[in-house]
Amino acid sequence: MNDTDTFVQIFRALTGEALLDIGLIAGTALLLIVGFGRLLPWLADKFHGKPRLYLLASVPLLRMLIIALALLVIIPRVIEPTPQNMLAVLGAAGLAFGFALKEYVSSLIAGVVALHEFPYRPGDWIEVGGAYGEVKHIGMRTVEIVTQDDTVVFIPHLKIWNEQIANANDGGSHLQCAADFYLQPDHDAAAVQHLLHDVALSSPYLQLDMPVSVSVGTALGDALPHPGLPHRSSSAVPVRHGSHRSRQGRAVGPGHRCRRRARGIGRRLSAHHGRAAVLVQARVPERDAECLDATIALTSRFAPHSARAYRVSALYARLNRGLRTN
Amino acid sequence: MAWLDAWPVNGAGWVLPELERCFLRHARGLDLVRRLLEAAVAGRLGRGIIACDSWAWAFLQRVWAIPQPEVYTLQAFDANRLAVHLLNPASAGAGHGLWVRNARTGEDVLPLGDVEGGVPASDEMRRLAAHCRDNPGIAWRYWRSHLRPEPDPSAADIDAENGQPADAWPADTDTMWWSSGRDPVMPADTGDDMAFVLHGLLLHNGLPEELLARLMPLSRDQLGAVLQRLARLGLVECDVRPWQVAPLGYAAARDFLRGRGYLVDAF
Repeated sequence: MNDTDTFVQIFRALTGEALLDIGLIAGTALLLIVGFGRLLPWLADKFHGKPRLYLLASVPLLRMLIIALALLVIIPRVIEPTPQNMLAVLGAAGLAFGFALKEYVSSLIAGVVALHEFPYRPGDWIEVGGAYGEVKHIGMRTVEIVTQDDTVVFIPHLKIWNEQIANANDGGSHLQCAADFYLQPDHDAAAVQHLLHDVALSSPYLQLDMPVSVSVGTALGDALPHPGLPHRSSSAVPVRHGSHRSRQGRAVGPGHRCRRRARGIGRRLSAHHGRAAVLVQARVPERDAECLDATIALTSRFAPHSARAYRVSALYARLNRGLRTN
Repeated sequence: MAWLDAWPVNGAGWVLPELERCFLRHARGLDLVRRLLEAAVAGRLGRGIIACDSWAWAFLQRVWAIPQPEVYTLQAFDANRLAVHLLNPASAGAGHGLWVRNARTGEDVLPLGDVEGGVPASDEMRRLAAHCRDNPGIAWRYWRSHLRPEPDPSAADIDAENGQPADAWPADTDTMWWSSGRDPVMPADTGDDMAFVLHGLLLHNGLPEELLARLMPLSRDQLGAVLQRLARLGLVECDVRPWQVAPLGYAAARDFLRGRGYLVDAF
């Protein structure tokens, strides 16, 4: 009985006035969150580049601050704010969270860390756990990305504790795109290299201020299975939008594996060229190989409002068209 | 290529006035200019002068590394030189003196002066030169489009207050009034399509629609719609030459492309 009395004494009597205050505070906080959630993205659409990204990134930060302030104002209206009471309530709450909502709280805390460390921001193209897409919204517990096939994926923030997060543009306005090409073995490797260089150079998506790098290998790499093998099918290299067919009739298009590989090569080139804007890698087979496999990757600009999938497929169409005509 | 192979090498000097007509930003459109530049630099074409648009030049420097920097450009038309250029009867299109005043304030924009002795630059002229990036061609179009025969009522009031009669200037002098009007602006919802078209037109110093369609990642219908929208905004025009960026829209287009990270010229 004494324990019950003590527990009850922790809380204040919730009068109608107190409830009204709490309602008003919560309502104001909600209005501010919704208002900033609409105003800042609207404002961000008026800008381009970093100002847009910073404005978008400030939305979850402001939301967190508003919620924290609202809780700070509401708690003294519910609990008698003595040190003992606060300790008891916070301890009980922590225990409950620890057992019942461990994952949820972990995501919340990771969300706060994400706001500080910026592993991703709205507008970034990230890959987490095999899901690759553009960050559309950073919530309290999850980050929402939209993949190239227009699927929304909700990724809990807690992934940042123990999973690798690949960010393709890291707040910038450009990133690398990659596409596979399968060519007949009797193609002249030097001519293909020259042509791919010009194809990249003539793409309007290209960031011309960045250097163009072209490299030619003399053997097929392990990361690039032989296109003639049965497992090299159209499904192995997913065609998301606007599939195109090469001379051999093989459906090809931008895919995750190709993209990751291109990104890795880009990092290697970065050591020599600062930032590898365009990477063209043509792999020339051995004499007994049946085909020549080429990969082209180039840094392209992207606009915040259009679907990147279309751009990638449009770029790919240009690349493929350029090869066909030669 | 046949054109280049048939280049007359007879020792006479030659001038190639528009290098930007020798390439297309297409996978198959760059070899000719590479061969041309390589042959010219190697001296196989004899002595000559190649002139090139500044946007095309910026692009060509990425296409082919120009080994020798013997590149010259005209001196920029700053406010003083621009004033002389615009005051010159030949360029002004008048047979006698021209006095140009601000249509709102009545202040001198182009004061009466001797072309030979130099013309003092007004603040308006400095602003015009800066806005047009010291480009006389754009400045001239901008200048002509903002001249008007009558002042604003406020300017007439200023003259009356100063006791300056309307016929205070020499009889053989025309008075024109200049007012900075509304220039074309890029719409807020400008997307990639419009940026691509503007950039393509600037890199090639204008292109017919058929060629532009081969360079753009747009269907012919989309391209036509983009061109018509840009034309309505006053950013491109197709009056005499093929589609090109309108002089009055050049500043807006250039600022927009630079802000989006596109390659721009050095001027």
